[in-house]
Amino acid sequence: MRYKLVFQTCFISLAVALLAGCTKDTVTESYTIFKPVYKTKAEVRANAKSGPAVAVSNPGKLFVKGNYVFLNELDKGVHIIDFSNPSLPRNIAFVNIPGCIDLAVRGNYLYADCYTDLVTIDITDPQHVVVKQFLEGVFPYRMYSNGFVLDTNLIITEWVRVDTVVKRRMGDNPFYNIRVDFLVSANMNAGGPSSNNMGVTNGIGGSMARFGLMGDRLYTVSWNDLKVFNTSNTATPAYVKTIQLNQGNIETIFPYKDKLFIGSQSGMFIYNAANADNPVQLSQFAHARACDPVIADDKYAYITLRSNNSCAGFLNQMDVVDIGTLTSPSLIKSYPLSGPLGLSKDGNLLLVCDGKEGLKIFDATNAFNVTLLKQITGIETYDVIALNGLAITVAKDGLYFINYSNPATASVVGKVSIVK
Amino acid sequence: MKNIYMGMMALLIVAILNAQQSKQKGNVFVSAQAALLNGDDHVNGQILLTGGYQLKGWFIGGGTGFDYYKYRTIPAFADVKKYFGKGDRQFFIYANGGSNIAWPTLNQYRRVGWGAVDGLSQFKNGIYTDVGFGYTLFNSKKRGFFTAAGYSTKTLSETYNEQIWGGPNPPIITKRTLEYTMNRVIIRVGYRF
Repeated sequence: MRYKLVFQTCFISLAVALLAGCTKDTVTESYTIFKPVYKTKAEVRANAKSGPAVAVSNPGKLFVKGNYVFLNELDKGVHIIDFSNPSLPRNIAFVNIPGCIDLAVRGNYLYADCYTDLVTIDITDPQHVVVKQFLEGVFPYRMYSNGFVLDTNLIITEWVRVDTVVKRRMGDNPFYNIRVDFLVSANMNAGGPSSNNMGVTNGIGGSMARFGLMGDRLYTVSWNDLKVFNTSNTATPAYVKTIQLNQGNIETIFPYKDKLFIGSQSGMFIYNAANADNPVQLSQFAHARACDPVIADDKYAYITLRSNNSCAGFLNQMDVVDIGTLTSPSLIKSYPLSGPLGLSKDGNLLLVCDGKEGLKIFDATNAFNVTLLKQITGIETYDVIALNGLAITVAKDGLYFINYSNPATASVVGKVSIVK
Repeated sequence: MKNIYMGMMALLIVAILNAQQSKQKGNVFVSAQAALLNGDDHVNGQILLTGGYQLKGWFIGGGTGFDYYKYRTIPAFADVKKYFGKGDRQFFIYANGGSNIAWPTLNQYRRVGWGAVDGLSQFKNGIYTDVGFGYTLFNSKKRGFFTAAGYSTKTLSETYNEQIWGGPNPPIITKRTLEYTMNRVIIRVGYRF
């Protein structure tokens, strides 16, 4: 009996000793990272050329010139789509431009960002484009953070998915390897004076644009600045200057006549570009924090405010702002919407992409009483360009061509589908 | 984990050596227990209610309660005890095993992101184990206080969606899973009714 008690005591002591050292809490974390694949600038430039059409996968912004839609494939390049017959749009070519998310078309030249560079491409023959120029480093914000600072000669051309499992000690405030976006890019735009004295015409951009053409100047906005490029010589645009804006969160630019309407997450800025190389701020219209594309006409600016996204905020509406006095814009009325994005105006008709609610066509004859005429449902819309009765609309599942010649009977007439 | 298995084996050997000791009459008991859980730089509490049937020194039953160690959970487990010796003062060993039901407080959920990943994380149940030994301070009816010490592990997992920024464009939404394993030394007091 005595031996048994000693035996028990020894075993229990051993058990407690072994267990007491085992109070480390652990967490096994499974997540996905994306590793960048680098190429040299020379390799990237060599690949900036047109090839056969490829399926649209991740469409971004769009620009229209003549019978062609230039549709951005995010970070990949530009699709060229012939819509001579809107019922049968044809995807005819793809221009490979790594890192491209914004574009503009002037004359026979396509201007696009290629990561930190501005590339000029002769698109006279869309299926055999010719790269004319790289303006290096004009978009320094297009670099990656979190350890991915770009080498001056290297460019990230793709990301490789890597599923990762890490086991570590569990802390009270565990650090999670969430990557944060400091990527801010320059983008495209819309409708300033469409030609210069040389007869070279500008294309038309969407309202989500960060690139805007006005006469022979190309304006681009990034996180907190406005850049001016002189495109008098369309094949070889020249960088003019950078104008620091008063605040960050800049999202879009819309040139109208000699004014620039700049949308930020906290308001709209109006710049006077009468001196094309030196735009000066006239005023600011502040609103609650939200994403806000803006367009304008002679009397009013139309601003869509969207929340439930990376812009935070809590508003989903369209503000109509009186810009009769450009130095003191004032709110006329706000119209509730569900999740508005891009918008476009054609005469008295106002077309608004309202996210999952589709494309809405409003009668904006009376700014105090903008009324809904027609809603095209069943598509999740992103941006739209209204062209004399034809709305070219980027949506989640394709590029739609919508005939609104008679707004009451507006309907989809053609589509280029997205293939994921 | 290797140490845990070795500890459990040691306790099991003690149980086998004493398997033929008791000649007690079978009875049903319910116990209320409170415990301190001392783990990885963390001390929290646990309250349990167990019940079961005891015959000849062996107790078999089940239990549940609230475990507040780091994440609030509800252990639901089978309970086996072996009592040694006779009389009111008995040494015993125990082993509990079952499910650890996730029931985190609101501030234990991870609130994630904006837009597409807006919302709270989701938890999934895990496993609960507890092995140890104790000593009874029963009365003549085999009811009364007891105390115990042991080693417990609970697991659970948390999942949430996250948007990958600064990489592919457009940003991609991926799933992140965290599988927690929490190991604690337990000091317990209880009362058997």
